[in-house]
Amino acid sequence: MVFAGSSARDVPGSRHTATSAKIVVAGGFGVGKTTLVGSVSEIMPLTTEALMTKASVGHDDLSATPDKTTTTVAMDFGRLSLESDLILYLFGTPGQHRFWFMWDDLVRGAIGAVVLVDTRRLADAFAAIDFFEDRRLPYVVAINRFDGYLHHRIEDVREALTVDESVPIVACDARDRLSTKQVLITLVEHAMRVQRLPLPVR
Amino acid sequence: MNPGREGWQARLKDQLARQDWPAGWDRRYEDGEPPDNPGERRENMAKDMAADEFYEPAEYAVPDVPNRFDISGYRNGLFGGHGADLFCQPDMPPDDPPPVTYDQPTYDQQQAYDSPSYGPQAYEAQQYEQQYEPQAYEQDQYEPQQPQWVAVEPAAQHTHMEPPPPDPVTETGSLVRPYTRTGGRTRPDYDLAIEALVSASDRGWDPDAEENLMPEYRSIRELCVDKPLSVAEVAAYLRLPLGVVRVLIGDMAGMGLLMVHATGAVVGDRPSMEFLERVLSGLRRL
Repeated sequence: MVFAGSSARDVPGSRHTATSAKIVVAGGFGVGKTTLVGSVSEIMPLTTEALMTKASVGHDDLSATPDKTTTTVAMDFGRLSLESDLILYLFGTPGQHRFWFMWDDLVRGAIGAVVLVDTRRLADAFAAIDFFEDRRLPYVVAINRFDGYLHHRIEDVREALTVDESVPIVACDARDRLSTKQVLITLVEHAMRVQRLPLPVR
Repeated sequence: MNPGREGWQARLKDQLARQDWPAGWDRRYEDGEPPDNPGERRENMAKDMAADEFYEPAEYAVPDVPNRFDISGYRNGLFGGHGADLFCQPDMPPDDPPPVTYDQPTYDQQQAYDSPSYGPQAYEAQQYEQQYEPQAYEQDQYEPQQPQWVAVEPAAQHTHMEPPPPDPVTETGSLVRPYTRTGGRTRPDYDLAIEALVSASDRGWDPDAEENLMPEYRSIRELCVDKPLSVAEVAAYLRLPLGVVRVLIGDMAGMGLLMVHATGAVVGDRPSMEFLERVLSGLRRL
């Protein structure tokens, strides 16, 4: 906070305007949202995670991810400085459905969303996909390869999720920075494509 | 009986009587030997606290509070941070003051707590006699085997152990206190996105008046003197609910203490094409 030759208080005087953007990361419980955010964030993701207790076992399905002992109860986010004055924030949505009302706040002004799915529990992604389609927020589906293998063909996943052909579906490894970066690039490209289209008439 | 031992007992008795023990502190040793290891002891204490009636989940006044967790006892520790902002979202009904919905002891609970059976006198009368008068010392086995010392152990521990706060009601206020800083307001005067960047501004900044500023204002300013931080980051670093930080930042921006940077150029409610291109090339450079 202390700068050579100037007091910290002088710094705001030399300010320039910075800009921020945000991308939402959604998906079911235990699918790797926090991991994905953490893989590209320049800060330790700021999270609100509560220890898993008996009380929430009923709410969260642990059968497919028996090793996961914590669940995100509020939201977690990471920060990426794309330029000195352009900062991208990645916000993980609350893992449980009962936090639906926070999503509005999260998606307002967002570039788009990444719906992270675990092919063992595709149904967990339905709520997020429905929500983003309803809000017309551009989104991509990212299949998290937990053990390095893609167990299902992407076309099958698309059919199971009933996702439109125009929505990109990519496989990724949420732990890998380059993989996550590629997912984000896919999303922004998709958002630009959607932006060029005229709004669909309902 | 050894006279020295009698003195020791009297001192202990004195000490016990002076302490303001919360209800149920002694229950854990009824089933067997007290644990020796301090970690285990703390764990047991937490269990007891959870079992205590004051840590039972409260009845909520609002029918559908979204963060109604039933993790008794641990709830305050777990959900006191910025997860606690859940009450102040725009979609919540406006006339549900969060503090009222929180743990208030029922009249019965309060009475039970105040009643003499939980007071220090009760311990003196019941527990002390039960534990220290019986056989072990009467039989004059001064060099005892382990089990007989075990009976003494709990008391010895308790004299060193910090008792849990006697009034748990004050502890459950994790949602109440932050909002006193906002004068009870849960919404900022103007709309602040969670990713909106703020930085300290010296417009309206009077160094001489620094002491008069609320400590929260000072903390927020100090945080973003260096580089702009998002509203969400400020909330996370200060461990304050997001809703509280929004109100505080809104006030500070109004006073000129903070500058709120514009979020990405927006067309309608979506970022503009130029802005998306900037983000894309930034991502590619990573």
